[in-house]
Amino acid sequence: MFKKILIANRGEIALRIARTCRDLGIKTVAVFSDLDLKAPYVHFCDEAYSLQGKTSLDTYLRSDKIIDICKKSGAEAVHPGYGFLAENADFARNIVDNGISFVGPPPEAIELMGNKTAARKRMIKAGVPVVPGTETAIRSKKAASKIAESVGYPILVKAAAGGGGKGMRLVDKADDLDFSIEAAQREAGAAFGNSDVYIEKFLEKPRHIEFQILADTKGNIIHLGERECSIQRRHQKIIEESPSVLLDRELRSQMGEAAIKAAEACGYQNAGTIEFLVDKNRKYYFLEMNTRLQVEHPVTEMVTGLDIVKDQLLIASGQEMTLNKSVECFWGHAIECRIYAENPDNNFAPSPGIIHHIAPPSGPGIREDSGVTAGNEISLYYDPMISKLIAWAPTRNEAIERMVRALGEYELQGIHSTIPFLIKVLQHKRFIKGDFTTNFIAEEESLFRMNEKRGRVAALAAAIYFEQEKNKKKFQSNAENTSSNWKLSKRKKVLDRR
Amino acid sequence: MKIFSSIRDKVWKFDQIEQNGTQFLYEKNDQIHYEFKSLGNNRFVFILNGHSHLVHIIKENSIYHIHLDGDYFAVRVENEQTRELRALVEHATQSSGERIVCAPIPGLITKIKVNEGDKIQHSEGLVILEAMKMENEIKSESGGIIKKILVKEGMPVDKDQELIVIG
Repeated sequence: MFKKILIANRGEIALRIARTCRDLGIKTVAVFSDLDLKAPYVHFCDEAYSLQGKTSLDTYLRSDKIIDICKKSGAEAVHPGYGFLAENADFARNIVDNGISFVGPPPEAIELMGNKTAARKRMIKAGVPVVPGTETAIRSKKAASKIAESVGYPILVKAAAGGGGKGMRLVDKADDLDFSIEAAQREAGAAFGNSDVYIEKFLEKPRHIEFQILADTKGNIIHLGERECSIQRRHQKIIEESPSVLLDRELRSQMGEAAIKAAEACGYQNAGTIEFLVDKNRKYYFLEMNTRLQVEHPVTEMVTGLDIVKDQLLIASGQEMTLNKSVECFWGHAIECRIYAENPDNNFAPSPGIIHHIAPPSGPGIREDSGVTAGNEISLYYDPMISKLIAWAPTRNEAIERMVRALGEYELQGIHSTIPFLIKVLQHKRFIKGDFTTNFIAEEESLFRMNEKRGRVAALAAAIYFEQEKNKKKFQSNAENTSSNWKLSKRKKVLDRR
Repeated sequence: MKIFSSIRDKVWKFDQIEQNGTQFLYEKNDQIHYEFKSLGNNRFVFILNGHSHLVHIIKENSIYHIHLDGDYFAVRVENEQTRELRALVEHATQSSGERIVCAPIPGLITKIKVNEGDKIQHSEGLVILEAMKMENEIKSESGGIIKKILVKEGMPVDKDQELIVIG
């Protein structure tokens, strides 16, 4: 096992990784931007080095600075976390070329899965179901329209090098196809330096279900079951859970097998995630592979009892994984809520500021992976996710109750957060029934309505506070008058003596 | 004395009555029984008709930001005079016809979607403000004509900075 590793990330995930390292007796090296000096992960790690700068581009995305710090500190491996350089094949290659271990997959696997058309082609060859569409990038308008007709509208035109919705167009009818392809190519070229686009059938109201896999260097690949990630806002996951209410034993084992096939087909090693879309007929399609640790990995840890970061480190140092076969049944149910510094009362506007007071919940079945503490400033430079709250319970209903309880307990002052909105989602009838797709939040206007019963209590609290403040002021101004009366009488005495 | 608490469009009216030097609070004709004590740090224990709550209250001008049982409310509190005064001020600004759109958050102006002289509708997109890697569209809260654009694309702005004047 490694003696010292560098964590090339910030926030909650840097702290999450550092905690496992401490459990295993591995020394940790933190890197930080000018704005993150006071972040908890920086003082938790054994060593910390400045990346000199503010923006991501000047700091967490600078592989040269990170490699220099590796050499200076003697770190034997780099854990990239998620985001930033985690899925950058050049970075991974650079690390390995410098004789340092990369806690993640081989660069070739990152490269292959980062290219959507190459990945689709490989998946089709391996017999993994993909969303119907073109196998390679579109070369002619005629071929494009033929494919579009055969899979049936509506279709999606997507960037081969894409991600984050850039270079993506939804096309409802044949008339719009040519125009949409041109627009998507332009956008893809500008965003990724590669204007290749391809066509996929647009699945209406799918569910997003993903499988966690682990692969060691000796050719063993296992899956740890699924995570249900359909609760999304603007393509951003906000609530994840494991297991999914949609899957039974049979479908789970089929999808798990497909996930393992997908990982095998790209020569995968370390922890990865195969994302699937599942349509209303419970047919599943490969969407993409995330070649890194996922934000929502804790729900899998809670229901399997594993520490995925520990397994990542075991694999990267050439050792055997904790388990040697896939997980077929889970221990209870786990839900994760992502807490963002955004104001749901004002169209989810970012809410930068200083955290004056923070008191996270605790109690049975609650875990928090947080990246902030009192006195920390939430800046506009980085991702607004400040914490992840995870609830575990024997059953799904109990896990929901526990999560609502814990979110209600959460005290946070100085910034707005998405906590009130998360509670509304968790208490929604459809969420409780498990009846939802990726369209859920867009469809349910009731999630944005005020709870009038609680509103009245707030209105009363404000009225009482208003009144108490006024009385205090009255008392203060009386006190000032009294003191000036004393002064007056003293002055009068002085004058009288003259 | 009357106290008005409002959240969005909903208004609650309370009566403050003094009897023998003690203050009592009424809603319609029912007396409200409560305990309300500061715990410091803007935190209060609030027991209302036997129901217990931990409340955070942060005051910003006439708005009280209230965190309660995991929920959040922006409550405007007024007495009769302040309520009338605000109505007068609002009426005056409306009849003068100029409204200023301000930045709700600090960020970077990445796109201006209108030109001076454009006629716009209610809730039409005016500018794109980028913050925390997210694009936020600032929409007009009324229809009218774009009289003046006070910012340029690529310009960083502070919270409450004036962006556009609508007439």
